[in-house]
Amino acid sequence: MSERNRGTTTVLVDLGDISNRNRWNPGYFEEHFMEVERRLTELRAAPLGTFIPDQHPDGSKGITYGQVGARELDPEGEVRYLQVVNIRDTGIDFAIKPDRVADASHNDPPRSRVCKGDMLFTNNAFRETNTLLGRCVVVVGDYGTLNISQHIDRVRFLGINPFYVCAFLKSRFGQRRSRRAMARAVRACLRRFSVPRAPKLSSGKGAVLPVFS
Amino acid sequence: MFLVPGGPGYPSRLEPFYGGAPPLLYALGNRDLLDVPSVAVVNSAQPTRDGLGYTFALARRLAEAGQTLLTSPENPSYNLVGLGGKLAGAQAVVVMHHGLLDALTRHGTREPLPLARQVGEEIDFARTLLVSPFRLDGRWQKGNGPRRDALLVALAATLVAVEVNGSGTVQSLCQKAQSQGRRVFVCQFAAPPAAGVVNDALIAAGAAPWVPDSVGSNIDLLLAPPASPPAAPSAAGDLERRRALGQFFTPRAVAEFMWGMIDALGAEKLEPTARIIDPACGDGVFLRAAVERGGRDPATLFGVDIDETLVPLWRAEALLQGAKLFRANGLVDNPAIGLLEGSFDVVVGNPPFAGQGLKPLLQLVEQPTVKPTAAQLDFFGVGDPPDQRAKANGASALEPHRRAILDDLVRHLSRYACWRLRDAADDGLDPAVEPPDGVRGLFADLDLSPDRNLRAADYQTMAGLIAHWPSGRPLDVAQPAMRNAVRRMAATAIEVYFIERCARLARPGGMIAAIVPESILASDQLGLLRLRLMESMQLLAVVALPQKVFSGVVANARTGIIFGRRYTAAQQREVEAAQPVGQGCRLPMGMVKKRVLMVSPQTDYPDWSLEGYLSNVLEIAVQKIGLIAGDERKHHE
Repeated sequence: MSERNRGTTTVLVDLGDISNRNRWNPGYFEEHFMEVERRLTELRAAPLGTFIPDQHPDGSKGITYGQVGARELDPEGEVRYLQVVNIRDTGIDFAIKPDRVADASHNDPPRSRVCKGDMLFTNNAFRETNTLLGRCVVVVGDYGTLNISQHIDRVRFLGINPFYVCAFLKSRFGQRRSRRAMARAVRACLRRFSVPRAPKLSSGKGAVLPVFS
Repeated sequence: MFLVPGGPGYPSRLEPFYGGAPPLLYALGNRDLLDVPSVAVVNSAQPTRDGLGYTFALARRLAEAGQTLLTSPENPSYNLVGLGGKLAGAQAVVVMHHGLLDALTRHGTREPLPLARQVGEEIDFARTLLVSPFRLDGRWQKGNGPRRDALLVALAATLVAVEVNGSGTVQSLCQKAQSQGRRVFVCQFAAPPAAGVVNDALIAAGAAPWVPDSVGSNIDLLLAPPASPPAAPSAAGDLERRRALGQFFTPRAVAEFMWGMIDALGAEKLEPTARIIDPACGDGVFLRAAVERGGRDPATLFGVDIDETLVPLWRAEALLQGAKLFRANGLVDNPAIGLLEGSFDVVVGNPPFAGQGLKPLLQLVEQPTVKPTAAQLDFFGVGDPPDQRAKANGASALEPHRRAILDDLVRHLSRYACWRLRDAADDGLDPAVEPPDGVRGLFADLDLSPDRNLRAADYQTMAGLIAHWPSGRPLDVAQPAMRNAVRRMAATAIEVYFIERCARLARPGGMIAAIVPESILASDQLGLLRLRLMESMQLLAVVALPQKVFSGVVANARTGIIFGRRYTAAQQREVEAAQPVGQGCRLPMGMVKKRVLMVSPQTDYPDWSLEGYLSNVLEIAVQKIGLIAGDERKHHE
């Protein structure tokens, strides 16, 4: 049980527990995070990785991020280039920073092209501004050729509705899960996030739908 | 030729050295060598075996760096300098200990240094100048040695004294050279290598300290232009350099807090004689804090840092007088300065993170790779060293002295586990480098086809091969396995090496307290490193620090402090015999329930401050540790 005292949160953890979870950052063991974990266990949560295949039948990756390295924007480019700032609670805001890159350029690798039905997730506590981590949207329309920066994960699910996942990640539970996974030098590993199985999971209908079939 | 004082061609630097009465010189060979800055490496009589080893290594590196060496035929130390120089094809000024005519009559044009004759019997007069201050036909007689030494030192632009005995010729020559503003470097040891060695006194008198090792790693200090001695760091001017070094100095309050925690967490009270080291000591804040806590002999404090600009700071700091501070690489063992694994009671510090880390190792694999010809293959089937092959084929290669130093670093790093722990799936082979036809040699048992991902076991095999590579032979980085190993080492963050280093430096039962970036605490990629560390030390506490603790240097990294105790030999045996706990590391049943104190800041608390947080944590730690001890007692009962 963690204790709060004059700006300090303290928790005593067993060595065996630390070894098993393999995390040494004290924030990971704080009570509100542990509570999320307990609740998720009660809800028979499954790792998101269960629904993210390494590769889809069409050859695309289940999860990937934008090209790392120098950013070469091209105002005349044919590809819209999404950055963390474009990902808003209400969806993708193309007006806020309407950057573009050249088609098939360094910043437009085919693997991270974005399609309708993909979920976008901001994966990094960019410059330590924690509020930029864990933003997510589902791409609801066909916006032409789109690509993403390295701080965004493009996720293509199989066997679960991306809107359901997105809603969960935006919930208090999901946000805490994101915060817990956060570390500056670490990409939040979505595959390991737990998501509660929806009641109608076994029926194949309801909350669990094929991806934009 | 005769060189007459005041006459044409007479070396101008001799006149002030001899107080206006320099000797007449007899010379034969390349006279121009008197005009280039040359280096003398000297020892007093009867240097130790290690001292001779350092002398040879240094001479060889200097020669490889194109320096002109001063040497003499008579004693083992000068002979080793001559041998090192000749092996690397250096220019040499040979100061004779008797008359030049006498020497030529006896030996003709035979190489005057007995040891150097192993490399070539004849003198190469294009690269050599023989000089003598003695009468042309004068034979050796008592008293020639000191006169020879005086001329050798007088001719040197840079003097390196390896082992200097008290009240001897070399000591007085060093003092004289120093008083005349020459560059004088004196080897710095943790303890005098033999009775009567007075290196520390020379350093205290103002000579520049120089840490010796078996490869001359610190040669860059000697090669720096004399006109630009290392400047003391300024607040703003060297920010970029500090960032490149990953150097973020620790606030005093954090250092003091860490000592408080070490005292609180230590199973036994820290003895005043306990050996303490900071393997990347920076400005020495942890060592200063240790002194300020009182009752500690400064001679028990060790600090190492690779940044030479810190040396003047250390020397000027009153609290660090008597502490053993060395300009060296904290990742590399060095017996000369007592930097050895398992030999410290407390390892404390804030190792570097980020920066360029070990990227310079990539220079080894960026060299041109040239397939060996059949004639270049040796018994082991590994071919000639790649730099020789590259030269033979007209391609440019890394300078030999840099190559040798990087080689040595790779050999040391190969013993670390951290660079080969991660899952190899993300690290493919270098498809551009195919194993040369028929040149599998020592790597024959490694399947290096580009289609196959390397596994941790492959890196382990590579590490073994590097560690056992013949010591006198450069690593063959044309081998794909070697290239991959070097790339892997270079790509591993420097903080990862340092945290493993901290655990290795502590003696069994010794304490470890280190500031680490959050990646060490939380990164999935470093999970295997954490498990490995947990199998070598008992984690006692982790204290998260708020962001911007190091804001003075514009470093925004999130960090934490880990406190641990290296397992005793008995505990280590138990760990190795234990089963893994769940998906974690091996832990004996008695350890599984040991409690670890985890503390994090809540910066939204009103009036939150770093000092208040640290003081609060210390208070809580003392209470909790008391509770933990009580629980454990109950558990045993």
